[in-house]
Amino acid sequence: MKYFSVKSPIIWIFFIAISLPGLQMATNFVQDAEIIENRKLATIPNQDFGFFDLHELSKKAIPWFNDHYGFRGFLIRVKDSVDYQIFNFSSKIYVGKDGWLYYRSVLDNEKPHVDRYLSAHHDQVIAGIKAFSADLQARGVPLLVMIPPMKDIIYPQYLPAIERPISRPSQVDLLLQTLKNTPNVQFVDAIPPLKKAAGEYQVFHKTDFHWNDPGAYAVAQALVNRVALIQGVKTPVWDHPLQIESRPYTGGESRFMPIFPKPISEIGFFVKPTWTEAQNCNADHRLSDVFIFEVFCNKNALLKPIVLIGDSFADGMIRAGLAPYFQKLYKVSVNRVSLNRVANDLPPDTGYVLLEFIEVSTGMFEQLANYKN
Amino acid sequence: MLFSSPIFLFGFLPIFFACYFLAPLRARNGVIFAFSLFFYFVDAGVFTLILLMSVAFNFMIALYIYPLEQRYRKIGLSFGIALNLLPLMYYKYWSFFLKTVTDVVNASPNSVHTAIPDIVLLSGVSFFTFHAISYLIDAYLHKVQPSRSFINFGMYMTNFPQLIAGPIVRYSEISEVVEKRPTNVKQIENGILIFSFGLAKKVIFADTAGNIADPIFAMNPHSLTLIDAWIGALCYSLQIYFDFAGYSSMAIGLGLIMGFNFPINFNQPYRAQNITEFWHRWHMTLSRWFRDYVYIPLGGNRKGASKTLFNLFIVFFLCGLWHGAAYTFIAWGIYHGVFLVCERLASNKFHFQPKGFIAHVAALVVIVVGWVIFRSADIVSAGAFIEAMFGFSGQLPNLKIAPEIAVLLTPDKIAFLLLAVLFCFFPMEIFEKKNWPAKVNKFIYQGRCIGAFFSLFFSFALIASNGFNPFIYFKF
Repeated sequence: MKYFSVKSPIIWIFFIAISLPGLQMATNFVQDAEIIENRKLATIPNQDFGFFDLHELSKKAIPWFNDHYGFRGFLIRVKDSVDYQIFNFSSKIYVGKDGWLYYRSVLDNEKPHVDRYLSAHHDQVIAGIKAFSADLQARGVPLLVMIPPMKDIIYPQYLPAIERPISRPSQVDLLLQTLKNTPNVQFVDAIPPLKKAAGEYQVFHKTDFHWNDPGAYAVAQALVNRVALIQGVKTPVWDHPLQIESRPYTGGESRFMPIFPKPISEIGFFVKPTWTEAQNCNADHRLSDVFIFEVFCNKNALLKPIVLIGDSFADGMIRAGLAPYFQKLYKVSVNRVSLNRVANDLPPDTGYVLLEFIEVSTGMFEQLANYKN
Repeated sequence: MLFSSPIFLFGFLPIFFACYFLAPLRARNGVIFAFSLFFYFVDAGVFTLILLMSVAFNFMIALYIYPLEQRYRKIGLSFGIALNLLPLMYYKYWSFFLKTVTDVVNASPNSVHTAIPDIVLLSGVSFFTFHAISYLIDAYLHKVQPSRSFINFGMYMTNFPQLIAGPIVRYSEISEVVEKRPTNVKQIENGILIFSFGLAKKVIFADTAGNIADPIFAMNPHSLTLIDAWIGALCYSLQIYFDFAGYSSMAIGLGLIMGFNFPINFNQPYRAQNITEFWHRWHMTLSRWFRDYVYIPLGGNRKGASKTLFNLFIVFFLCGLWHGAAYTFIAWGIYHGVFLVCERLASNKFHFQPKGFIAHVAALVVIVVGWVIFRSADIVSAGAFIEAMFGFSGQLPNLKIAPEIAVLLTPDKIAFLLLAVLFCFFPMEIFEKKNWPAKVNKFIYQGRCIGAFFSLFFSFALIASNGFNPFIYFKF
């Protein structure tokens, strides 16, 4: 064919450039760079479409194509690499000193939003916590509350200049102070054990916004000893030593900034098990078809069963050896629970309830502010 | 389908070009027509029928009136123009007309409530209506022979590069190449380079400026500091220029690849030293259209000074209205009309035309303030925004940038904006001088090619990155 004799590199480069993504999509002839987005990508429209549905088909096909065209991951990495290498910048991550990364959305949006919310709803949130506690008390169950900080609180020295700093004491600081003095609410402050442990070892991941397992260990230890005090058991109850192991780790914040040749990684710190694991028992237990508990059992434990309404930070405490200290540990996701139903539908053997959520959980603050007995 | 979307760049375009260049020469107009209808259908759906009806109607009217006597031709033309304006009036202006009537009546003691229908804005209706009207008028004036091929005419009316956002191309500008367009490698190369730069203007400059301007214009204008307001105004000025110019460049580039030489639409308008010059550089095909089909038929400058000024005013009122059905667009058009009239008066009476550095700065201020009127949600917001720009908001002029705006000014955006400003003012014509030595010309050409491909690939990366929307926790 005569077109293949065209000796114009400009023409060839252009037509190859616009054709390659479609070709890759159709044939997958090379491995594209993996990108993790934590969302469900648009799916290919698969309904039977008649002639008059062609417009609907085209409207649904576009988001699917935009999510799946070839070399999309590669191109995203190119842009992020240019931002990082040339501007030392990412549109989604603050790049701090010494390899510390911070989500921009947390620092620029979620923290200021929570600060504004609490400045207007501080009293309602406290009232909601008190009401929730009262409902639990009516069943003889004490409420513990833990609000883990974000890593910029423990490691402010690695923060770059951020555009929307919150003045301290922040509204969250004021809320924590109020909680400390709220009767019938057992506030477990995570900040002191974290700061103390930070003097000895790293307690947050550099490339992930979670505390690492040694950090969770320090907080879980404080939690267990606090529960022991409530129960009247001689403290300290926590008795397994901390052994830290290290291995390469690439956290969520790093995956938000996918660059070449590979995402920023760190030497991550994890806890080596030095305890006997609690057994999973009655796994996938359903209670009132409202929420699902993950349950751990240790019938020889000193402490009464605990319902842990928590997020991935609570998972860190479980990995650090929290469960074996309780006869049962019922774990339920804080993002999937209605506190009103929890108060009514607790497992009958519940000894304690721990409500754990991070300081930027606007949804939980709103739920608490609207909590009614 | 946006030109800067992945589906257009990597789905539609390669398939179109493959079909176009593999088709025999005589079938290529049919390929363009079919793909253009599909391009329109993706966004407009069943309303594509209106476009098709417009094509059929104008095709028949032009053929019918062309051989008639002048008086019958005029009647046919009037009928044709009126019918062409019907979809424009209904889809773009009917709701606004009802709203205006309601506003006027409610300004009096007798208030009424009128249900304003929610009418879908027909994509590209302003552009294909103006294409059609120019075709009929040119046929009426015997400036152009009406096409005898429905496919060829349909190709002209629906040609996807200029269907939605211009430039406004007259049939006479492409009539010589409609039926015969042999493949020209140099032309294709030039088209590719222009398209690549156009995509970069849109994605790198316009979208970057928009990421700053849009949040500022979404804020309460009464809360803006002086600096915030100017940042918003300047960023919007860059956004609208590079968005529009980028689209035009992409259209011109695609046209060249297909063998058409579309007219240029923008000539670095922010280099204008007065408003008159600005309108010789901004949306040039629209200015020409209004000049040839409104200003001159109204009498132009042939019926005395006051009539000339009145005609200018009418043209700019219509120009504002053409941009959108809202008071802000009309106000913007009138605003420019007033300045044009003043410049014309100064030129006629005092032989004075603003020129030089101070005139340039003054023109830029006038233009930027005009864009604030154009962009604002309503006249009141525009007024408040302008007050903030000049420190008349009642508060002491505040030279601080609000934190929610400062967070937008990331290093990459600042770099792109500085480049954008450079491209606004750097005299690009020096690269097109014909008396450069051959080596220099070659160097310039190679630089242009490298720049174009770098821009193209970086635009692809930016488009991909803008579609990268991760969540911290998994969203179901």
